Amino acid sequence: MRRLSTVATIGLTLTVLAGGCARPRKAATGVDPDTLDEAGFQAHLADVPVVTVDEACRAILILADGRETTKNWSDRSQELLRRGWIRREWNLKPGNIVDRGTVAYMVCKACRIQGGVNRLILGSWGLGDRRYAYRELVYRDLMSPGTEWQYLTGGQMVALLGKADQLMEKKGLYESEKFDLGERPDSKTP
Amino acid sequence: MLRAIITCVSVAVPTLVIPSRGFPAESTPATASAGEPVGPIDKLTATCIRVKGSVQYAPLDAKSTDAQVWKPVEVGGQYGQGLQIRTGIRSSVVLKFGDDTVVMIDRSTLAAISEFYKTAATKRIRIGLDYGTVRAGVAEGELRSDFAIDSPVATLSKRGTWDFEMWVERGTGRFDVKLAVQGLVEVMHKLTGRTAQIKPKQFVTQAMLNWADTAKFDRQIVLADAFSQTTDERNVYTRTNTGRTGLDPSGNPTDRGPTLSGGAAPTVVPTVRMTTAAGQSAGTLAILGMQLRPREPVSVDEGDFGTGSGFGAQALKRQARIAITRFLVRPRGSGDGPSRAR
Repeated sequence: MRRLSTVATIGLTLTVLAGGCARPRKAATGVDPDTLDEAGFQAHLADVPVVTVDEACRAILILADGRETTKNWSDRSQELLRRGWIRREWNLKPGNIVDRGTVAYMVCKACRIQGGVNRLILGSWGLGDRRYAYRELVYRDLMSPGTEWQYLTGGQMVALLGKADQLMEKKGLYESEKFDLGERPDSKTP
Repeated sequence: MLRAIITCVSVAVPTLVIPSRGFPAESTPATASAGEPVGPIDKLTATCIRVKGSVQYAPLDAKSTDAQVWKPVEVGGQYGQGLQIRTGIRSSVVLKFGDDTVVMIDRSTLAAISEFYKTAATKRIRIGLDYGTVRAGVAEGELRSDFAIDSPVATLSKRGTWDFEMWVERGTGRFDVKLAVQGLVEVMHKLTGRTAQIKPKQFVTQAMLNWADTAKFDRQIVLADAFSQTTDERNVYTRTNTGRTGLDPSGNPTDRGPTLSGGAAPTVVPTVRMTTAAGQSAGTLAILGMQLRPREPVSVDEGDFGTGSGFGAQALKRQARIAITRFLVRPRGSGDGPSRAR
């Protein structure tokens, strides 16, 4: 009897895991992101409670290219596969909630972050690629500590985009005009 | 004359609920600083002096997804209170509030000019920050500057401070405040009443820890300056932080452990040579029965006892050097340690 219950528990667990933890976003935002322009999409991204795969992919491509270059999920997935920023084995669905590891992997590719030994040796061919990419971004303070299978809120996604863009500018991955506050004016003591 | 500049930062961190989005409620112009007459006010406008990338503005009540309402910010444009400004990727804008205040709204940010007006004695500026980064600098002007950045989790108010920055992540309560150039920032946690002071080149996050407490977790930083330490200080640091030990002038370990050189710089061993009246060398001075030894560490036969030399390349080099030194300066007919080669 005990053996039977153990087998049943293991079987149930495997069934759940086989189905994957990804699921569609429940709360409707009332806005179709595909109808928004680039600026509107980034504002919409900050409003969403959790980020979907399609939204994350679109945001990463805007981060990498500096502008919108794709129109729909089909274009984005093809482009990301071509660049090697996602893997076909991940079986990503556009409406599903994206996990931190997947986003981290794409950001590492966009920002050309090599990572540590684990990422180079294991992550390069697939074992723990998203896990070590997420750990690398946590180390660099681009993402907050947690687990790589957690979801990402819209606010966290926007913050990540800002920090990643800052890193790309610092690394010189795109031409950028230096912006600063300028010279401090002379004080006039009242 | 140096003026003590204190910036009070009130931090409100919700206990149970994640901070809500949006800008904090505007304070009315009538609620001026305590003890100051309200008086007539002049509403002012900020001038955009630089723009990069995609920067848009709209009234405070505009929806973020309503493309009709949002218009691009232009250089030379005038923007008064009651407007929100958003920036995209690779975008930023610099606004000048009079002659003494400059505000830069950095990439991926949603901010607002909540208030901008002046009274007889005060110029009041309130910047609302929903998410993203705002950098600012306020010099001392003819009017007293009442400048503040409001966000759902923190409020930063100051004057006479140049190049400070506030970053807020929407919905998580994460923020950090940095001070780069000049001034002194004091952060006050509204919930606990705890305060932290930030000096130039320092920062504080929502953890409200002093920078020195977080620096060692952020990056591996050696906080001891090896070049300005005395010998005793170096020995203490070596023993307590590296697992190695130091040598006293006799060449023996200070804590009677295995003799290994430790610390960032080798211990300097003073040597004294006595000479006769004719100037001939009379050998080294023996003090209280202890013989001054050469600077090279002396390895005990029992080994290192795992005190930190490990199997690293440095340890191997050191052992090789010791072995070569002992071979070249081996005792001449006596079993005691090495003697000087003649």
